Amino acid sequence: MKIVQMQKEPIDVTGLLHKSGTVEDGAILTFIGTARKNSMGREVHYLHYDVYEDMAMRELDKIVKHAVETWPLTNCIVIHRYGRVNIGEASVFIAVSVKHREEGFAALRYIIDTIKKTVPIWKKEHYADGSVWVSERP
Amino acid sequence: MVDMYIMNIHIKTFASVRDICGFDNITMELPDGASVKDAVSCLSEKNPELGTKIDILLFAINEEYRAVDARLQDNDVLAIFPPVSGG
Repeated sequence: MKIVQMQKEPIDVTGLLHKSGTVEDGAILTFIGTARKNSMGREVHYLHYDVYEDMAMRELDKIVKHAVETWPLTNCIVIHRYGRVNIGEASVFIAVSVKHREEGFAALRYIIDTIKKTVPIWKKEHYADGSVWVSERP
Repeated sequence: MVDMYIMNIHIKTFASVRDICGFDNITMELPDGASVKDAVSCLSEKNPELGTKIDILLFAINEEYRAVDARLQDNDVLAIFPPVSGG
């Protein structure tokens, strides 16, 4: 099973965890990126993600395709939020189900590292007194 | 006759590039054979800050990453954006 999705709504982490695994596999590995309260010494009120949605879906599809071709993943779920993400909420959810953990760790790391390099999504931190695109921060 | 040598290029901007340009979507006319760099130079006439960032910007033509010297074709969608910061 593959699920690749961009969504505005909060991610149902518990619901996704329940369908991440299979009885054939010995490991479910997850990465959940969350909105942090502090950034470079400033208190963040919330995040806003801009997205080039069609291209982001294409890039996410490429990443997941490469991952399932490289490692023997039974399930691979990748969901990224866009729009407003409140502090403490998940901005990205990745789960892979696999027979043995080593391949799962490698796949998981590849997926999140590549998302951060290639998927056209941009994070803006909002503070009490303004906001900054993370890409523009010195 | 002159129309044969003009391309319509659909420009999309995102994040800080949209803030600099003040639009998220326009169509501009460029001469046949123009590159991504030519499009950015043209946009930089009104938005000089854009030109100063050309070395760090990323470009996609029809949703695929392309280099700054890539040639454009009529009706291409050229997206211009800063380094990505998802996750």
